Amino acid sequence: MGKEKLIRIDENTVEVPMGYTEGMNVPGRIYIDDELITHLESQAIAQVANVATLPGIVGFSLAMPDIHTGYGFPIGGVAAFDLEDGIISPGGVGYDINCGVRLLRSNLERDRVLPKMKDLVGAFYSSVPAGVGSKGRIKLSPDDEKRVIVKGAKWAVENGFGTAGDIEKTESNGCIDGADPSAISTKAYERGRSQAGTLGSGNHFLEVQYVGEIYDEAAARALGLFKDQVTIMIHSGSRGLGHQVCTDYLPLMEKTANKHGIVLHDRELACAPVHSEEAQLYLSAMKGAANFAWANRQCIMHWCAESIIKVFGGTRESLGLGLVYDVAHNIAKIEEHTVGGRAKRLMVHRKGATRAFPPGHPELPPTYRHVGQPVLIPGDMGRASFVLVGTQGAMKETFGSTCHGAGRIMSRHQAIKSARGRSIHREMEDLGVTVMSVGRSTLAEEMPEAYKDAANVVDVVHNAGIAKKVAKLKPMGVVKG
Amino acid sequence: MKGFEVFDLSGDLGLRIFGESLDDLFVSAALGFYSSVTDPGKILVKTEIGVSLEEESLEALLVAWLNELIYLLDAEGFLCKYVDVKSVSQRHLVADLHGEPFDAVRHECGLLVKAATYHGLSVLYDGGTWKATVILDL
Repeated sequence: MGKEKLIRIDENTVEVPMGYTEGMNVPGRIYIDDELITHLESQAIAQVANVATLPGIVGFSLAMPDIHTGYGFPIGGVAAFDLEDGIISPGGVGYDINCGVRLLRSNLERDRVLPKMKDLVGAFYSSVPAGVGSKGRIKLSPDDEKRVIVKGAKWAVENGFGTAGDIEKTESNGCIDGADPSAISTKAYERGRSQAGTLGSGNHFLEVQYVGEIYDEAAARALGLFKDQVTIMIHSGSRGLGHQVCTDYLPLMEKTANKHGIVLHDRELACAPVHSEEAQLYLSAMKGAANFAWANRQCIMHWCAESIIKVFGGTRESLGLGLVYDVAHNIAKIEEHTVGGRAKRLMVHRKGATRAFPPGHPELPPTYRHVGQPVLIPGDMGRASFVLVGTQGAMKETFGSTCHGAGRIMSRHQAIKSARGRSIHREMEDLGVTVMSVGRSTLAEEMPEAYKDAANVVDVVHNAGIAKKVAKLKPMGVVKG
Repeated sequence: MKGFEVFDLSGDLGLRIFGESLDDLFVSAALGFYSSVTDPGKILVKTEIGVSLEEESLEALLVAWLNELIYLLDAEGFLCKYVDVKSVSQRHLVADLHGEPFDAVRHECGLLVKAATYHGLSVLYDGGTWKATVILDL
């Protein structure tokens, strides 16, 4: 239901036409092929259309091929708003502000690491707290926590968690300017206080991987990637602090939308005009939560690096341990894009979507400026994750954005039901993947078949030209919360 | 009457909550939440926390209640064994929570809940029973 109204533009794109929902200001565009469209939920299409009704939206209400139903905005959604008459919406960012992914590379090869997988995964499991009730190894004083909010990953590096070189390999240098500690509630601080350097649960993970295939030799070389090389992928966010910021601001945004006469098709689309005081307050708090998330992933990566050194000996330098890149996939940012041939600053929301800036973009670190921004796409724990780079195509069509992951095809309960009588742990071992998890049912809920194959998702963005495939990463070991 | 049931929902958690009175409804919501987080049978009563909430509607009050429990779990590690509702209306709730801090050795690790959402939210009184639907973001 709903799909019959979509108009296919080309083999990778469909349009959600004007009139799909009353009050649309622009059409929707979903990057999806004939195979993935079979998984497309009618509610997710309706959400693309609902976002198109929001004031000041520019171009299209966009969705990536990993689209699925979210709250207000679809997951996989991208929407840019005019700074004069547009809005900012916490629903376009999500509860886990700056949930994101980073990739640590080593110079270790698969054959050297394989015999020590149990030691390595065990070392990760004990060094990075995960799951319900877990407390971080860092105890932040209230003043320290405010410093994290303002400085992001820089706070972590200044306090010994990583090196200065990590900062330039992090989106926005791991810190968005303008975070205001006073815009964040006491409750948010209390939730975050013992959670810096914790993984979380659900689909968050640490994964030991090897480079299984290279699609673009030159780009892989520029990113320091080679065949059979071992990498570590880290997927986490802003933890309770970010969740509380979203929870705190939704009611205020709903009131503000009503005050400005904005019609909401869904309460979770609550929003405020960008120029309003309420929007600026949310933006200041969101920036702080985003910075907290970058500090969180920086600390987690530092402990992963320490664990690798503990298991294999040597130093960070001798083991070639270095950050490839860190990307946010739940965030709103003011960025400059070309609209109608003219440069324009826009409020770009990416909710389950990754920034994918092209070669030459001034925001890229000098080492990657000729190749484009690294884009990290986590897959399920049995098949593969991917490294891509940003393209001019993304800049032209999607406000410099691309997909963020695989997307579920089975609900958690379907997955648990399907896992009954099976040992997912043993199945993963049979696939050559060593797993450890904290939660009672995490492994069943996160089983590979619960997700779409990320390979199909990245093929769509690659073929559509909104990112370019560089390398495939195959899992060897996983820690789940 | 069963106090709550979990319903199937992509990557998140749906709760249908029932109560013969508003007291019961809020107690059932808490039980549904804690059952998802851990095995409530293993929670002991060692401490007590008072909660007082005021919101503009019953729907908002239910979301605020669950978000308060989520906050207490994250900030204090607090797991609740039983809820003593002191006073409740469609716009306010005063309750004492009896339980203990999370103990990684004794308490099972279930789902980590980020927030209670307004998505698909409903609360209605039907045939002598309060019925609510709420979705928790995981």
